[in-house]
Amino acid sequence: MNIITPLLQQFKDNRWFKQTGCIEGEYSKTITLNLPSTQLGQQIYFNSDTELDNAIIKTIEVVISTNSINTVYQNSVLDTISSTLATRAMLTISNNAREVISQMPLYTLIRSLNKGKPAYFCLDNVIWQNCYIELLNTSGFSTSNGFFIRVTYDRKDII
Amino acid sequence: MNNLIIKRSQIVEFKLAGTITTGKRYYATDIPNLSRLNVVVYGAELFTSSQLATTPTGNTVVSTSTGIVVTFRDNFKQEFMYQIPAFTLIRYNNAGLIVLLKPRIINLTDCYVTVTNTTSLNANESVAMNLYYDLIA
Repeated sequence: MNIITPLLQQFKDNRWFKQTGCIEGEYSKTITLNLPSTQLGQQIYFNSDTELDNAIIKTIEVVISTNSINTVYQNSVLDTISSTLATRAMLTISNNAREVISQMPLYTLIRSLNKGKPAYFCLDNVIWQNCYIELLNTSGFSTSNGFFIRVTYDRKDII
Repeated sequence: MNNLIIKRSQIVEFKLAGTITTGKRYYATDIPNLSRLNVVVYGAELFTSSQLATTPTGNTVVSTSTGIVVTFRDNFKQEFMYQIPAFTLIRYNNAGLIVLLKPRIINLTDCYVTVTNTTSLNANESVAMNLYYDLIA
């Protein structure tokens, strides 16, 4: 116990872990990204989002077709991607200098496939319009697909 | 139960270049982001093709993890995590929990995977892994 306790304290102090099942974020937002075309290596950028630019992002979740069949993007109903398609795309998170902060395979962000555990983040310098999803394998994708992303966050001004 | 918070992450690859041989070491390819001395790695997650079909560099990801073990070396060349079964590092296999490591500066290009069984592994596939890290003062 003498050896482990300082280590746990270090993880806690640096915000490197937290309890599962705790409050994830003060606010929650759903973001849908459409697929204008299906080209290998295509980087599909998110629209500008001032709310998320001024937030500390706490969790990011990818919703798949077994959880929600459709998602809506600008009045168009799109087919949510399946878990198989999620293995073929990557989320890249960047800051104002377009420095890559995090690269996450979409599959690992699917909450329902990880026994309900969300992927926790602590990102306070993200510029949402610099973030994108990249297609690493186009097999099975079509322009009727949409990426259904849920983000929980805290506003910076309440911290 | 605690789970890891992602501050920063980076995909790293161990390319199984050439003929795959049991017992052979395959080293990680260099990533400048992780070569800095102000970086501590505190978590790791491994992917097979069930989680990630292709790496960002275009390499096919291995389809199985049961014939692979992973060794991490720090900046003193100490093998602080020696031959962890790759299966253990897959989040999906751990009820969604990410494996936490004692925070260390690692020497990425000294880290390697060892093949213990070549079944279902093909030449030039990659073992893909996400390393979770933070910047220290």
